[in-house]
Amino acid sequence: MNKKLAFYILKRVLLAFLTIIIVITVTFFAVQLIPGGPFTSEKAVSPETLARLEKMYGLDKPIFIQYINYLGHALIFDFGYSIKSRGAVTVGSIIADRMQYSAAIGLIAAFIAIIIGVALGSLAAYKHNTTTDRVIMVLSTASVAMPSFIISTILLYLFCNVWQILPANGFDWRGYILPTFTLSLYPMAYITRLTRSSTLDVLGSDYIRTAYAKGSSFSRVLYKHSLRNSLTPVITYAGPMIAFIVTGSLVVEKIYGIPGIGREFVASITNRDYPEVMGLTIFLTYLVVIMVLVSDILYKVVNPRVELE
Amino acid sequence: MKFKRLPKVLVLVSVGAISACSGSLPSRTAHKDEAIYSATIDGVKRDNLTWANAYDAVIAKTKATSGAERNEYLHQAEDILMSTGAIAPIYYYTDIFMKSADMDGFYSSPLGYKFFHRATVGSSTDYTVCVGPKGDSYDPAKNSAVDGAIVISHVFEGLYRWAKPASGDIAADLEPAQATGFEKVAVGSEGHVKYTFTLRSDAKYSDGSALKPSDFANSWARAASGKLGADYGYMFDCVVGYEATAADEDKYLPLSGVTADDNAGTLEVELISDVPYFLELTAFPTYAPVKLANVQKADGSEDDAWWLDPAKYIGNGPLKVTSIDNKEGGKIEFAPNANYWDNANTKVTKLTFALTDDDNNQLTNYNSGAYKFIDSVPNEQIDSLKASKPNEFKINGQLGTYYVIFNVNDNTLNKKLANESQYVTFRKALSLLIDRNYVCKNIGKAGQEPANTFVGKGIMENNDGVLSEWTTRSGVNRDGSGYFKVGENDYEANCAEAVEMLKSLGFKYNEKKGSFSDIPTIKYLYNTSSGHKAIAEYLQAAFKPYGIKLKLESQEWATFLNTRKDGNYSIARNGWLADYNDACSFLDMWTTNSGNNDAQFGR
Repeated sequence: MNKKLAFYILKRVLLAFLTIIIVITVTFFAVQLIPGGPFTSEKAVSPETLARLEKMYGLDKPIFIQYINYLGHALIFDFGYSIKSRGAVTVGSIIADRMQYSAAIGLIAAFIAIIIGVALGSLAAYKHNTTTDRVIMVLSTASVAMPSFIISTILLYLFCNVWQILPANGFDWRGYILPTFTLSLYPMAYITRLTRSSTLDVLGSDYIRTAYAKGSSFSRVLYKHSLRNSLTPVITYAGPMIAFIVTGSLVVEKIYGIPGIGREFVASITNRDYPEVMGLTIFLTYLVVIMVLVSDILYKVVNPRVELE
Repeated sequence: MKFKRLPKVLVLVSVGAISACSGSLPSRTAHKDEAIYSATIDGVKRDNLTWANAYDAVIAKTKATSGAERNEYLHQAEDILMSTGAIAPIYYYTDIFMKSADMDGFYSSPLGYKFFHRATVGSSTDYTVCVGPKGDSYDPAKNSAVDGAIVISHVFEGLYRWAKPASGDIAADLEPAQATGFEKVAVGSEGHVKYTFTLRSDAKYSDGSALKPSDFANSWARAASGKLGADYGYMFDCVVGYEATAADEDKYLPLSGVTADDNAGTLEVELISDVPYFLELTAFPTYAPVKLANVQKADGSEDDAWWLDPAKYIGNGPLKVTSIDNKEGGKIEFAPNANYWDNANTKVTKLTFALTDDDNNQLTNYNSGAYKFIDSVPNEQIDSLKASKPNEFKINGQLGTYYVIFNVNDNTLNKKLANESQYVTFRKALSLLIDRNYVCKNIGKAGQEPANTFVGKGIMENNDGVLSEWTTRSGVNRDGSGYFKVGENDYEANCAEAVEMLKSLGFKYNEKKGSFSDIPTIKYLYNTSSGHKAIAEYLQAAFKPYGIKLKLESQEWATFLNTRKDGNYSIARNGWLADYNDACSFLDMWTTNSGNNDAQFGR
């Protein structure tokens, strides 16, 4: 069994590696295809200056040479210098810096979403068809339906403008409160609904009835028999969700003025900052691939009945 | 250029992608660069000239003449430009910002560079403002952004500087700064002039080291050099030796027209002509003296990151940077420079620039009191802010023009129009159908003024000692009437004239409906932004009653710039901000080979 698991992991890692190579290749050629370049500006630079700048950043070389050079460096995590900063900062340092904000806010938000989401979902299932259940369901439906730019704008207006009790920029811990809450709302609501429906399924199954019949207490049934099974879909969802949330939200970062990775990514594309677009894409691909892998393995751990292929 | 190097398959894909986003590419046709322009050079008027023989020749004369003669050539250049109908000015830009009611001592240069070092907020000398997002570079030579220039203008000082105005917010005059004064003499027979600046004997960098004339000479050589390849290197193109320095990619070749004498404390600068804006250039960030030892690594190569390190980012201006966190949501902190010569006038004890590009976030912080000044305001909030905070919402003039540009090589109407002269009439008719007052009042909303010249309002000209605003002498009669009428009551007559012009081109006019029935649909290109979209939709609505259909197309910023530059459009939005207060900052750009000749004149 363990050998099987190890083989499975090895296979998945190799596949992940292949995915990353494909992403690098596609992104590399795709960004070059977008009209405009890193030196495009309203006031045109002279052709001589442009040629010199392209030479300075190696953009004058044939595209395939650029690609091969890039691939070699990217695989050892050398993403080069940001062109937009005119060589002042490395893409690696940009990623490290922006990630501290996106990761902090994202992980807190994911943690809140999972803990509260599972608790509320279980509660709603156990209190099935009661007022509690209905209140939770209405709230979670509303949270799933409301886009984050509306929620953040309302929160920003109330807390920062009207009551002025929280800062409008996410810099110290007080500034983290609103963005983490906003970010966690959607996954929290989603997890609530997932947990509720899977718990309802599980609670209706034969082995739960058997457990009660053999005299197990409610709490034992809950922790030993039901929770583990009802969490399976949540775990499947949680991996990609954490990757998604940690890699930043353009909207939330922009509204709360957080120097996160989401807006950096969008800005790098607008700026045609080729090395930065590439570096961020590869980094985010790694994150997503790893999180999906982890959640697949965890899925197997909580649910031994799953066959590995 | 880049696509040529792609493999064949990718070229096909890329061409497909480009034509998918910009529509079919107009083919160049017979009306391309027809010889229909007129120019008067050295008193001789000639007609039926090509663009290069008319416009380029007139611009060349502006480089070889001075004073009133030069101004007349500049006006003539604008006459030729406007005679094409390819430039339809809409309004002159304004600079809007929010400033705390109790901020005192603030001022701005005519280019919109804000100065805070002399400003207090109530009794506070330690406050935060926001003038824009993180900078691409605060290296004076590499920066080309206004917000970057604001940072640099606090940390560095040129030979001259903008003087704080006695009243109002906008500086109008220059005053001696690192130089105590200058002498100017004519040199040789080619119209060259030589400035000899005398530097302050006590001039120092903020680290206490002496600032010498050679620091200026070396910094200028670096900024103008081909080795650095800076966007604004061309700001030195009036200095003798610029061409050679700009062509040298291996070293900072000294500008041959610049001679520094550290013992005498003088700096001599020879110019190719007596350009009236040179003193202003000495106050421009690109002309700032950097400490060369700090911008280079030990091996003599450029240290691209020197400006991110406060220990290396050493200037000679009123303030010095104490900390810099250059990212969205980051900040820059300044403290007074103890070695600055004019500290009696510095009021702040600590100044913080918050860095963010989100204007809603800026406004929230302004409203909460966290920021005492913000340099941009969400468009949709302008009306309510004007009403609720009239003492804080400020509108300043800005040297720039928002305009609509026509591609002179566009062939959309080739089946209807026979030659370039007919296209000129057509473009002028379309321009007359635009109600500029409506656009200013209902779309711009920021105090813009309707424009009937391309050279922006606020640009000055000096005719042998008589200083006047360019727009007061604009138009073919030099009487300030511009190139068409833009009064509130002129619109109706303009429209009637436009209809007659279109009729004269042979378009079918239905008198009952008051509209034309056979004008092909034309594409209007703009970059994605709510403000540009609103103007595009206005144009569409304004032309529609006359049977002229505009198809609107928006593109993302860099794509848009590329499409417009390559001439793959029919009509597009455009805007221009001057680099310095002189009409040539608006007119040099239209020469045949200029990188900014988006109208494709002469091509």
